[in-house]
Amino acid sequence: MRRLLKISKKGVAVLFAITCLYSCTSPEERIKKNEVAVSTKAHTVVIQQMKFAPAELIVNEGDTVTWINRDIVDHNVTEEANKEWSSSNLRQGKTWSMVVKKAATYFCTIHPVMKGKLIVKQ
Amino acid sequence: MKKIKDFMGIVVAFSIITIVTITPVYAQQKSKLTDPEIASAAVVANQNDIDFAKIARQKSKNEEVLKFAETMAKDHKAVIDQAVALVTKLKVTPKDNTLSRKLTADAANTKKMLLSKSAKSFDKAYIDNEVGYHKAVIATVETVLIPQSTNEELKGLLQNVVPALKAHLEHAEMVQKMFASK
Ligand SMILES: [Cu+2]
Repeated sequence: MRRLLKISKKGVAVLFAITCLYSCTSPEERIKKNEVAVSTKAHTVVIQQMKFAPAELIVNEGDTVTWINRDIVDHNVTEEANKEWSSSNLRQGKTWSMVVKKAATYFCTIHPVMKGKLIVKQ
Repeated sequence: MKKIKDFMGIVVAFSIITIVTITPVYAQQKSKLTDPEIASAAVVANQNDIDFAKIARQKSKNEEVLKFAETMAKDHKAVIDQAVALVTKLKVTPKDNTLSRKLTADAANTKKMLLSKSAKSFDKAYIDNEVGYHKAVIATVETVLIPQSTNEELKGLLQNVVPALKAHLEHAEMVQKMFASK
């Protein structure tokens, strides 16, 4: 009985410690951390009305960017300077993803007036 | 004699009344297109540019011109496919009209002009026409077809086509500049 009391006292102490740990990080801070964790991993660029939106995207190296074609005509996503990488032509509703290794400007070879930019945070 | 004068006066007055009351009705009927007529004009406008692109494929050896023509054939075909899918869904049959007939007649003249060009002068003639044609089609879609369409889906499709037409115009002007600098 005395031992049980001891354990439960210990339990309360642990519980208290956990509660403290949790509440010691302010809610704002937790939200901030969470946001950063999500946004640095996956990004979406919507292709609509003959534009990449957003046309300029800031990412961390290693992030994944997904392009989705919401337009009525086909488009593609192609690195502009040396065609280092390219999606095949994307039909309406199709997506293409890539892990960003370095900054790049890209365009659509079907519609060379459509341009976009990937900026990598230093 | 006076009787004749009076009679003439009545005839003239009656004619004026007739003209005044009938003209607005006629003008309205003439300018307002129905949805089946708008669908027909839209399909013809897109088909014309596919036809111009076909001539470019036969006659041009310039890489930029050929790439542009390929985009025109591909995009305008996609627009026609969507228009056909929509009219099928709405159970509407596109109807020939003054505007679609004019677009066809003008395109026949353009095709004749393009086919008559020498290999040397074809590229510039084709691109110049593409710039003018896209400007004209954008104006027609924005000021006639969109405002006059009553079905919301038809209106929506036409509105979605405008950015593509504008990108085509920009692309054509880009190629046109290459010829100007040469
Ligand atoms: Cu494109």
